[in-house]
Amino acid sequence: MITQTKVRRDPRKVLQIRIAVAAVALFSLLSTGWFVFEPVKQFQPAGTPLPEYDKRFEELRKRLPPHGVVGYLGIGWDSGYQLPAYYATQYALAPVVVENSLQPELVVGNFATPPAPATTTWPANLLPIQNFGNGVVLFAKRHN
Amino acid sequence: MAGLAGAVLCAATGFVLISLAWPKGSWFKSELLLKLSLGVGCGLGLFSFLYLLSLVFSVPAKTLAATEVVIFVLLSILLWIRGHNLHDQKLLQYTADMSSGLLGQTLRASFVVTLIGALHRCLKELATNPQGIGWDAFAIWNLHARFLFRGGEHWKDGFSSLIPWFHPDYPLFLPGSVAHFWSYLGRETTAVPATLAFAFTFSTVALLFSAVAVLRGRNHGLLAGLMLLGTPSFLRQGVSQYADIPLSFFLLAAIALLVLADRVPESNFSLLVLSGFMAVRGDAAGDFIASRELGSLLASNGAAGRHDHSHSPVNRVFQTFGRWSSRTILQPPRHAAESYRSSPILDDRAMVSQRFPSFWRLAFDPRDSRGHCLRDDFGERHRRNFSCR
Repeated sequence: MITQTKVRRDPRKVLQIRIAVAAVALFSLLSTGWFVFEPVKQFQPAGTPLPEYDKRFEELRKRLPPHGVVGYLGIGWDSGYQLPAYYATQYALAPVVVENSLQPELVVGNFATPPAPATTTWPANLLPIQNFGNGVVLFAKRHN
Repeated sequence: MAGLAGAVLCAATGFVLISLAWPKGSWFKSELLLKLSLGVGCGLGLFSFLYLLSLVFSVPAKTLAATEVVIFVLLSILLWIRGHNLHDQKLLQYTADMSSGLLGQTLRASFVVTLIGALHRCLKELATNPQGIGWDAFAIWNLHARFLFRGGEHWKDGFSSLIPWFHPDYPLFLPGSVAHFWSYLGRETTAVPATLAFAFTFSTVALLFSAVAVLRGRNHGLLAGLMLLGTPSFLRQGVSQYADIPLSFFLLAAIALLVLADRVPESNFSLLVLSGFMAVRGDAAGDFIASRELGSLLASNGAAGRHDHSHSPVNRVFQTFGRWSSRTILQPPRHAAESYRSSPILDDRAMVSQRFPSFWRLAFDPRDSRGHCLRDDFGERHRRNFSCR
């Protein structure tokens, strides 16, 4: 055990220390005050809050195998949301690996707006298996 | 309830481990806050490690929980045997010249007000965004946790090179902790990563305050804690669930324990070992340990009249380990780095046009009603014209 003793300081230095400490306390309080009253924003990586985005894929998750690799086709997303939408899809569908390609046998179609079945032309090399109606479509690779 | 019991068991195990490593002569209540804050990181580290071992050896969740209870009981018995007949004395006793008085009261009041403000804001932020803010939280750490928890036998699928942006080379401490508490609960909840983020943020504050208070006096500790709490970017990083705050916690813990080990030379080995564990948990700590600054830090403390550690075998071992770890352990595997560089996602337009020309023409190279091609890729017009070919 080590005991350290009191240090006697010059009164002028004590005043300087007190002013410095008071300034640190004041600025910390101001900084915290500014932080406390800053508005809280909801995080929306692909334009919608993550829990909502997660829910879009709930039905699809039930249809997919418990593990494996599926492809990904993201259509209609703004350029700023294109990649976040893919990341969020992988987040929603884990532990299934979502590859950003059309190579796997099953491909997840992620449309920014739900496609109308009557007017939409699906990609030629993909066969729609199920349209979940919320912009999520499950495709199978078409073998010629 | 199971989650709460798991959290208490985790923190208690960490606390007991820290108490075991604490120098002899001090007992349960001495430096309580310092030991508690260190115990949070230590407990989470141990539980995360055990969880990963249980995945590797396919141990059921109930067996894992039982093992953890047994470990806690055994460690507690060890601590009781070790601490029996010891007096309640402090590791260091520092009498500061400003422990009371107006300035001390001002500091204390400012600290309490700042702490309440920070707690309020962080809880509000975590209630709004329990899954975190920013990329790393959901695209790396919580996604890793989902692979570990949902994957079952296929948890290693998360290391697939098909998703290189997922950083398979990143440490599994945070995801392992999250997945472990999910396994306690038997379901996924965003409350777990949110609670961990909260725990690490405020444990770091508690660790800084208590370590400085033990080493330099309470007012210095309050001042350090006040400055950290008054840094919004620190709190924002904490609630965003990025790994930077846990990393800073472990770096701080390693430094605090190294300095403490230097101050208590008669029983510094256990603190040095503990410091090493903390540094290993903090992924990039090897680089720091390798640095000359640490040697000079030890040397400057030794210069107080005891001994110079800068050329001591312990310091040499730390420096050698640091240099080796920064070259080997801390570098991502070569295949991971290469797969990341060659990732199709880095330029998926080029990838799609080269690998799937027919799809590229269909999706991104449609023609309008007059047959004119619309080539402004990813633009508004493409979405309108997706169905026309």
